[in-house]
Amino acid sequence: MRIICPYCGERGNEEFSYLGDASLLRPDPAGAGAMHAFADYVYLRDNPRGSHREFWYHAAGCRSWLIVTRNTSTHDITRVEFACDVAAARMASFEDEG
Amino acid sequence: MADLALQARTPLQDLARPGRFGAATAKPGLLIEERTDLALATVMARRGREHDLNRAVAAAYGIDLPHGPHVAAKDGVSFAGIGVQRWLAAAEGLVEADFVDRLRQRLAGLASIAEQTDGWAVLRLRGDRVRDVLAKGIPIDLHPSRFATGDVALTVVAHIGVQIAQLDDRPTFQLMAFRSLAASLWSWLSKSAAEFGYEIVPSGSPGRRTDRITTTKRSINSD
Amino acid sequence: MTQAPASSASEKRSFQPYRLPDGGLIDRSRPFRFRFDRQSYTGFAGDTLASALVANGVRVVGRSFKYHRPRGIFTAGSEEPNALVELRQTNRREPNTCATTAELFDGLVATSQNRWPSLGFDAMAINGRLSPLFPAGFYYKTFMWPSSFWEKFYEPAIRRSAGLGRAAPGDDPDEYEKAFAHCDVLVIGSGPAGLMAAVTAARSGARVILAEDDFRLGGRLLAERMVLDGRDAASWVALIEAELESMPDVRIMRRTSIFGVYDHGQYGAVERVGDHLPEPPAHQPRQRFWKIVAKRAVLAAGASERPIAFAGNDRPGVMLAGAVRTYLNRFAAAPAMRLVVFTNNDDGWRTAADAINAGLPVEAVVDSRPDVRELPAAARSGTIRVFRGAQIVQAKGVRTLRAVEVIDAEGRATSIACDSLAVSGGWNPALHLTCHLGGKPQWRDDIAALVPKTAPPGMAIVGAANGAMTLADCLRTGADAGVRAAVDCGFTAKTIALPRAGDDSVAVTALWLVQGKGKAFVDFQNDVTAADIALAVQEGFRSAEHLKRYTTLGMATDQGKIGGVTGLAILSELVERSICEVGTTTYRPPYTPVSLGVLAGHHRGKDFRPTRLSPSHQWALERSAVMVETGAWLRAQYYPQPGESDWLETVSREVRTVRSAVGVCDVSTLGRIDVQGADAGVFLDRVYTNAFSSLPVGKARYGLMLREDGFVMDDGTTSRLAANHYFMTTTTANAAKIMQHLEYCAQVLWSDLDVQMVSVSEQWVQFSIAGPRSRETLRKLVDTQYDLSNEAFPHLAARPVTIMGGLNALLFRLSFSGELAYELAVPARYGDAVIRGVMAAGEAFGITPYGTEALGVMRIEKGHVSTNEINGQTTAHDLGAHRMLSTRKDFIGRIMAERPALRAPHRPVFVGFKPVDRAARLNAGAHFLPLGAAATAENDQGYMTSVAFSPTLGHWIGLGLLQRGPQRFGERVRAYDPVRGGDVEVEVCDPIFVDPERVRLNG
Repeated sequence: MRIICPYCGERGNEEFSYLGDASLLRPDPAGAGAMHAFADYVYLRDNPRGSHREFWYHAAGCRSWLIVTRNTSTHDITRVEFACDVAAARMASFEDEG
Repeated sequence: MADLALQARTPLQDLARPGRFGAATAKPGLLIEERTDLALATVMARRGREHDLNRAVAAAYGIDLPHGPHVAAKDGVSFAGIGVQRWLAAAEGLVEADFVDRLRQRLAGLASIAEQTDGWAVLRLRGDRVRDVLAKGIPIDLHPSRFATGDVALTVVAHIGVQIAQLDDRPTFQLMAFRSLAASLWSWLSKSAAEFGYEIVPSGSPGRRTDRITTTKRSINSD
Repeated sequence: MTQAPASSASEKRSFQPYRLPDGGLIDRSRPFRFRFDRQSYTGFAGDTLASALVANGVRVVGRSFKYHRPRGIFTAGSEEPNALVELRQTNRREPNTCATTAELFDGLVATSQNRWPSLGFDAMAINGRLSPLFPAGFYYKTFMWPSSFWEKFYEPAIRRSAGLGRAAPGDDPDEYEKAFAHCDVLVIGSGPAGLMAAVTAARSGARVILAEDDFRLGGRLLAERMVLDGRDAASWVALIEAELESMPDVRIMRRTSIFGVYDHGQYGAVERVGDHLPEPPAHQPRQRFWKIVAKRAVLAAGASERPIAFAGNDRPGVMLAGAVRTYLNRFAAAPAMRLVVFTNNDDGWRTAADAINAGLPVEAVVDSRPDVRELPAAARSGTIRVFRGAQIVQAKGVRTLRAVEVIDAEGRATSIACDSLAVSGGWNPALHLTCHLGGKPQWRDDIAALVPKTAPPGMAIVGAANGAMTLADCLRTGADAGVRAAVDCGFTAKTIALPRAGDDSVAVTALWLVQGKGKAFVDFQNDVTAADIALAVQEGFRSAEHLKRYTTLGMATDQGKIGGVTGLAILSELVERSICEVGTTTYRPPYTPVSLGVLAGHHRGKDFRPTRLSPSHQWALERSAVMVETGAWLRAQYYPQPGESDWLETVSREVRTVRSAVGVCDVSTLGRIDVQGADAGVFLDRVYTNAFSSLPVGKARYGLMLREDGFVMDDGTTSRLAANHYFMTTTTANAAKIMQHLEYCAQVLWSDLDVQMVSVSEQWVQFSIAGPRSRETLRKLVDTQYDLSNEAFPHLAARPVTIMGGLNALLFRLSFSGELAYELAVPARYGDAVIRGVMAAGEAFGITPYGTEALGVMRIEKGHVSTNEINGQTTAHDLGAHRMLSTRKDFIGRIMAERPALRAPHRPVFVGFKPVDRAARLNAGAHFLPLGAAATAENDQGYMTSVAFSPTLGHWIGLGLLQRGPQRFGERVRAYDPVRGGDVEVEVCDPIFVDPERVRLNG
């Protein structure tokens, strides 16, 4: 596969390492039922056919954590974002709501 | 220990000795020079201080920090983009001087600085077949329409992480790998260049570091 | 038509009885001598081994896989099933090389395969007569019982009788390498369609790579007598080739096979750089593995002809009709003296016409179609016998074809004497590459062939590969695709006039199998007959995939290029379903065989993977250090001295010297990470189980990291150099993993923190200087203004200093050995100078360098955990480190570490072990059993993780994990190690064997 890193440009997937589902959010460790929430966070994974947002780390490049939207059956990649931008946007929207 | 002369070793010492190697072509397809005079430091912007950092670098070195994988240079000092809000600063001929200390002072509070002068083996490569040699390891497209003077890339050669930059239009490429991997990088490079014939040229840099250090003491950190 | 016999000896050697007097794309001024099965022959530059053998009249080139039937050259390309030879000798010997693609060179030596003892007489040919015993699935059915016979008897016997060549006896002496290429448009194949695609894309301005299997561009044009724009095909090819050569952004890759298509425009290719030479010139690789990245690709791979199955269709002298034309037209070599053509399509007639043109007598054309539209002039003139609606039911002759038996439309049998039969069953588009990303072909009735249904993203399929079977269609589809590909890449189209060319009819009526007596081969390479397919169907193997596994149809080097489609067609008739319904097997890379050597490239032997060397490596070699691989690093394991008899003696001496005087060890392999920023302390509090924001500047602290699942991930000491500046160390094994983890935490989990980090592992060389005399040693190195007294520089102090007259360094008071000890970090370029300086400074105190073994012994004596204990399955509780789990803050892994099961009393916990018999040796990996209990999994109470011979105690000691271990000090258990025959009674004890009061450490 080829992944278009938003910093480095198009690279082969051998430069990246894979982590998996990027929709998972680290639960609030102080929240009620934290143990169950963490168990789900650590162990439970969907295995969807089709579009999947997933973490990739550009280990041999700019060392950015990326969120890649990839079709798991065709490998078609439709979007690549910096994970930190996604996290910042989420935080901003959280603050707006709060 | 006044009787101890401190000899620095370059990453490719004993490996890259000047001379002509490989196929006996009319003219060497590749010229290789080990650069040993570059003071190096990772510069990482402190959170929220990115604009101030840009201004401070411009004021101190007359350089606009590149945003993206490019290198900007002036008067022997350069900043290469190696990641988001992260640069490798280099200064020619300043290994034993206080370039990194002064960088820390000038960018105090704006960037985190880590010296890397000793961390990298640095090769300058040129010659008619330089792109053909690099194509045997560099997985990215080095065609002039795709990778031009001032471009930088971090990538992998023969399973070794490298940083490559095109320095001029001749073209001259600068290839860097971690010091501990210098011998493995050399194994790849010397084999890959052999069919074109290659010449190792002496380091043209000032201050080849075989003399005793006499410089001022530098602190490890100044923050 | 052949050359007159020559008289002189030298001429006699160069006499090629089946070489046509003129024509062909060979260089008659450059004769090459070669040997095949010890016999000398001569060919010409431009020949393949196969064409040179044809020119010399060599008929039998191999024996078949199962029945050992004599076989001749059947094709003129990489689909060749029979003419597989061992090329070259000794360590360059390469089995299963296609004679049809092997370029002839002067001095070539080839040997036929799968015959014993010789090609002429094959003792195994009796398999042919015993063939009722060798049906499909024979091996599965017969050699199953008794199983003990398999290794001793069945396998060696089968290998001798069925082997496909011998591997080289020793290491391949040649070099192989890898390379990358990038382009806008990759054109695969240089026949008429490929050439047009390449030239149109290139003229539009695209960067083009044109990859061609052959050593010559042109594809089928080289083999046919065709006319384009009024020129003969070869000179038209030369014209286009010259134009492409002149364009700077066109790369023509000859002798290059595209073997695989991968995601997002990536293609695997092998360039045979030196295969056409006796051996590669100095500094040249034998082959090069290319990874090509292309925005667009044009597949112009052409088509390959298929045979018709009839009795004896494998006899030497039976050849594909297109291959006959290739040998005649391209190589000026006559595969026949008396030719018969058997065809089900118009194309077969071309062979008759070309043979007549070359002056070869054509005995007959047998066309299975009753209504052939138009006959070549020669047929019309009545010099050839024409059978319409007729079939060849049998080919006769053993070592060479002697006659064919024809049943005509009226059912009458005729025997025709001949020495050669050209067969054409139609053409199969070479669509394999279109299937590598999951594409499935579809059936087209009008050409009776499978064609691509979908193309991989970015690929256009043109010419015969897409079922366009006339020259005019090939040129047009190629040109269109070249323009479209260039436009897709952002260039402006420049259209060019298509060359004028013929659009000869190619009508075909499917004919797969002629019923008759005798073996009708479908897959020649695997000796699969039509009867085998029928048997498989009868036994219930009715899907294409099952048929392949059961009969081996479509396996081995040609991967069904000859028999695959025919086999499917026969299957579909037998099961009475359409070919579409039957489906094909899955075509996977590689399209053509790829040698493992080229996939490895430089990465073999010591270059198998990169090696990391410390700055003190050269010095260590001078000290005769024995090196050991630890991950990618080469580290000094121990430093033997003259007179020491084994490693244990050396290691014990190193340990005793450290414990009694001083030693130095390179610990630069530890990961070092520079962590800075206003929130650096907060960040470390979250990634470590214990607190770091409270660490005073100038101090180091041991830290533990968990994974989010609560298990221990890594440990190390981290020092605070300034308020916002920490210097972290990780274990050698986990350095890269921890960096990645920290980046994840900083970028994904807590991107609001002001923290920056970078590896500085390569910047600093780090030495551990340990032992009661270590302070005195350092005193001679560290510049005098720094106070090293215990009060000024106590245990866990961490500060910048200068040494040896001004060199910047970091000094840490850290101890892995339990002794008074320091770690000294200096810029890596001075690593060599400083280790020599340390040795000189310690000389008066009896300093020794020590390696990883002594390091390991001393940490075991001190009960420190290492990678053996932090093995991904242990928790902080298991390791007795639960006091390091802060209760005042959150950290990665905190919640999951609290799971009750991870604190259950049955979990084995970290303790020490001593053998009851002090002379006994311990083994890591031994499992603990209660005394007297049976060695069963139920009785297993834990396992030994690390052992060492302790020179300090004079016996073996061990560390391990034992249920309720800390409550069982003094108790005895069995350390049971059936793998190595160990069964030792051990006493459970405190894991700290040496100096539990820490007197030495704080000395």
